[in-house]
Amino acid sequence: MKEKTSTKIIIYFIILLLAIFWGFPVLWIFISSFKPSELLSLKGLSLSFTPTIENYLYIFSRQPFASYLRNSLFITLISVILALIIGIPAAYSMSRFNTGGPNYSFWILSSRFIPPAVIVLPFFIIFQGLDMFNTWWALIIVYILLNISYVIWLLRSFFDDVPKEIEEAAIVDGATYLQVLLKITIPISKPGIISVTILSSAFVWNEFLFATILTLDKAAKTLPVAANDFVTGYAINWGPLFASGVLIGAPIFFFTLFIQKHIVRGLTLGAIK
Amino acid sequence: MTKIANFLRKRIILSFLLLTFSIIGVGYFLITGLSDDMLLFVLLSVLIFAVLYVVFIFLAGEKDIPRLFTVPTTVFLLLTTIIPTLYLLYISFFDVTLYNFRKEWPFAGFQNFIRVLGDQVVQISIIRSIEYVVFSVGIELILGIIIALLLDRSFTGKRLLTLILIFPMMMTPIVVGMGWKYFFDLKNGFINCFLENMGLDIIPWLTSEPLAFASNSPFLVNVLNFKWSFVSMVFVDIWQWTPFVLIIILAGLSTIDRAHIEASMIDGATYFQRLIYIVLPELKSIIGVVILIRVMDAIKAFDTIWALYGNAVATRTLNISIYTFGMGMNKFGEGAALSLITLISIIILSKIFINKFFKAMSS
Repeated sequence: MKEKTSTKIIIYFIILLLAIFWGFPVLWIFISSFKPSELLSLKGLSLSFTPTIENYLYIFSRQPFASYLRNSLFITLISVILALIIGIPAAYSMSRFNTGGPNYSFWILSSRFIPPAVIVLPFFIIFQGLDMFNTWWALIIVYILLNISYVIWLLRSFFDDVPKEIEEAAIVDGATYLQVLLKITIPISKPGIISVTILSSAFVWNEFLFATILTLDKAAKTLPVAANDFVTGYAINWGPLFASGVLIGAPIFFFTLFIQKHIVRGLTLGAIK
Repeated sequence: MTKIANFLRKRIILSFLLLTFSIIGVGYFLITGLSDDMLLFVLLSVLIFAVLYVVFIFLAGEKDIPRLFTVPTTVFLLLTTIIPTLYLLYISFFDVTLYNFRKEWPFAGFQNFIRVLGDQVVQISIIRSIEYVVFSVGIELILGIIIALLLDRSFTGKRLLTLILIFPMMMTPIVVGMGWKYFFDLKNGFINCFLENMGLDIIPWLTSEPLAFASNSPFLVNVLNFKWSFVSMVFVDIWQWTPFVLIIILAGLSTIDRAHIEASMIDGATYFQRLIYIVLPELKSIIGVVILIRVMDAIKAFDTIWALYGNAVATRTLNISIYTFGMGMNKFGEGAALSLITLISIIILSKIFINKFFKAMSS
């Protein structure tokens, strides 16, 4: 069916509007991070400026930004790997044997409804008592809790796609379920597992509320909290704030490129393929 | 002896849990004599759990494996949800603050619950939270569906546009909030600069200025939040999450069987008839999933609102109120009471939601 040229022009106009509406603010943060600090508090949309990396130099020289980067990196890696280790067997068992039935899987899902703000207080006090305040471990435990339902639901959907015949053939040959999981299911679902890893890492990497409450200084503080530190009672230091925003966002943007294919599935916990 | 061994072999999960937690329990008494380091104890407990778990995986018969596989998840979720909830329940009955935390806690009965529910700031923050969820999810849904219907065709640059649309929702929420705080700025934000250059009136984003049509009614302004500050926070959520609705509905549209649509076109159905009788019914379960996930996330919203307003009284949502009681004012007892009330309401709500969308999610 041929479309009229006028319809086509209207459609492209709408697409352009969408791209501007959603793309421009992101771009503006990026551009602002290269603006000299004085310009950021001036009125107007001035685009005529010499790009500078002073904001980036500032965050590394005035703050232990390298420590924050290390904390963010390790907390993200460890919590996601642990969530996968706990979640993969459960997801496999739910996918193959329907263990626990729908009640069990919806019980797991219901943990996703809890607003973090509601459980912040008990975790804050408990972790104080366990000497875990301002350590990686407090955040790691919380992030496994916040991610586990997501990991399990999404993995289960990927495991559902693995052809049963291959696994059954292996079991006839005398393989145990553990061997099937390790040697067949996981290798076949590798693209899915990578997507789960990237999406749940992005969540941990971006998390702010628990990170700001359970950490104090460079021993455990993560990047989003460090970015928020540029907001003080007196003024907001926009330049370094945007520069750290760009640094936090860059790896996520980069990894998102790889999983664009799985994004719909990833965003809907595997409910829609 | 063999009888007990047989009994335990049959109940492998029970015996695993009994053995693990009794070792950890005994370990607790031993370690408290030697050192006060609770972190060490926690890490050791996890290690003991892991080692014994691996041993039991190899000991267990094949028929026990499926259930054994779910044990770490179940144990982890139970520990990390039940312990904090019980703790909330416990301190919500005492007058605990940061200052008497290490001393004696006076028993408060239901005083904390009465105090938080009687607080007018809290009452309005509850209304604000409900409105926030309804307005942001509602508008995102309508906007997302309309744009998806317009974009449901192949065009050059579709992949690039999808990428542009994905970025806002992958961005750090606190940075999104800060960015918009900057864009909304009355003095140097680009939105108002743009409006001024176009010769239009500037918009008092982020201020308590009432919306023009509601300015005569104190009820609409003060209770139902018809203020620019509220519009701004909903706007940010809409900016960040409409692409979510859009991308998923677009994916759903591409799965609709073209034959149905073509047949209806031959029969002379108009665009809107096709939309109402074919397209939307086909999308029903997908829209259900989208609503479920969006409501789930909107209830949790904290970071962007915090970035825009901090804990300013006039813009507190329920989450910010809870945070302010517990962490801002250090009134742990009242914070716990409000947390508990919210938690129970959300558990009930999630039950309703899950039952309602059960079919949509499983299909």
